[in-house]
Amino acid sequence: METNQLFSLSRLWRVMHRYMVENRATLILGAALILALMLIIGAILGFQATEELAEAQVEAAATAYMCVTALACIIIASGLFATLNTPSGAVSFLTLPATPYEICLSRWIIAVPLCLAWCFACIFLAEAARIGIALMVRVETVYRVPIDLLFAPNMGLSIFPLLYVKGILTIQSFFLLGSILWRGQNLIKTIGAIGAIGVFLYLVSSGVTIACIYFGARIPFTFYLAPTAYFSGVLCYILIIFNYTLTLIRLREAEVIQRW
Amino acid sequence: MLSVNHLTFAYGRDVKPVIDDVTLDIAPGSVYGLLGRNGVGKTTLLQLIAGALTPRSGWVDLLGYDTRSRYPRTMAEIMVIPDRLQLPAVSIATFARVSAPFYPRWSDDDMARCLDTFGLDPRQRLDRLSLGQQKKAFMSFAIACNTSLLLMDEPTDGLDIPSKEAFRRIVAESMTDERAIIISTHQVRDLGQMLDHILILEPSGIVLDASLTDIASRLSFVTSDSRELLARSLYARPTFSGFEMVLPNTDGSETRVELEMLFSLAVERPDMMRSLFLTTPKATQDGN
Repeated sequence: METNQLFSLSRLWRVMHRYMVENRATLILGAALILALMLIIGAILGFQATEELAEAQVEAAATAYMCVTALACIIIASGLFATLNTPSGAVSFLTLPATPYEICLSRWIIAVPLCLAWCFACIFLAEAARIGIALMVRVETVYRVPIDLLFAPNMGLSIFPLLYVKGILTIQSFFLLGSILWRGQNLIKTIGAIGAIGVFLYLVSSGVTIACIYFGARIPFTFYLAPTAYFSGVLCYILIIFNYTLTLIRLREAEVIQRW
Repeated sequence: MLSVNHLTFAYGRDVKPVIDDVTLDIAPGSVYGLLGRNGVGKTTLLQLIAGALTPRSGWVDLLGYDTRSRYPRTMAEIMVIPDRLQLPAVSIATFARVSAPFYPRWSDDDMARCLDTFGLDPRQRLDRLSLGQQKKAFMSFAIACNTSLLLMDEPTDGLDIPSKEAFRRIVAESMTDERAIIISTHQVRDLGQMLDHILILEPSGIVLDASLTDIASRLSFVTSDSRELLARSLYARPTFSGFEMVLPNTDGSETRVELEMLFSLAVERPDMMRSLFLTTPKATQDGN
């Protein structure tokens, strides 16, 4: 047995292996669904390709791919701790001989980096399909979605160039927290909570902006972009870390099973 | 091996505790029966022992570690069989293969023996088994883990009659001097023969914590129509042939402990039970 009672790579691997094997049907189905959705998007856009709409199609394709990616990441994050919704699932989770860090990290690896990597692999395949079909229907000019543009540097203070990935990670971290915070319907509840926070921030920003105009004061830069300004730059990372920390703390607390 | 120290737990801050100042010592090599009425906190107590709940006060010590801290080495010594199971959609063999590495004393032989006794095939998929079969599959896994502490919550619920017999046989075969088993149950008729020690939990706390030998040395369980015995009985209930009674054991002869009668006595007269058993053992009192 490992002597380290806080973190062990071999234990992490065992937890991850067990999770993947026990949930392989769901994971395979989910992965196939993502691939199918991407391919359908690529095929539809490929069939609709025309010379005039070549540039617009690239934008539409990129947006659609990213929407599917975000949706997939959110849904996977929401179902990550679904087993805790039953007393027996919670007991087996809490009595698993591994630390909460290892259990949490193993699921995070599946829901975040592996899910994102799979989504981008699917985008490549969908793009190949779209371009192939467009060429097949004899459109001469087809633009490729510049996948590297999806990683375009963010504006402002951001030091992390993966703009879109960062956005997805931020939103996903809320859903990850929501999955451990609420017993049922956590997807809908998290959407509601994010909406409520957004409205609150928008009202605060509007209030501050109106007050600045009224009193003739200079409007702070961030409020021009409110409320999106709150979620740009360094605040994103703080939010991600904050949400991950809360998720871990919540997991550590056995009270997750005291709700029955 | 396991000590429960002044454990208090409530489902919420301002509510009455479900478990109130419970103190227990569990010794290895014994099968403990945890009895109690519905809602008295038996499952909660098992979850507290397993470290799955945070007590309001007190602690549970297993082999020198607080189970609440849920260290992997401590969790590897505890196996819980919940009353309701949720098992993954994999075969029994696959489930065992991915779960066994967490338990250092895992035994493939024990798993094969238990599955064979229960009449299960390791290639069967867990999600396609009936509730009773799932329970048998998980019990086989739990026993093969060879943990120091095995907690079972209503293990015979959903089992047919041959399976209950198989379960008793498996538990008896798997008992070692290093292992303790705590079984929370209402099915005293099914499991009575295999228990060594009885714990009766009431809202006021543990009203009985005694071995069957100790119980038999202090109480007699008789069926009689004698009015004289009835007058002396601690608890009695009518039957077709007179009365089933619990009497103080005054002559030292041991009778078979009737768990239903014992439980009824404990529920009706908890204070008397406490005073009878939470004192110096009878043998010492008598000077034997």
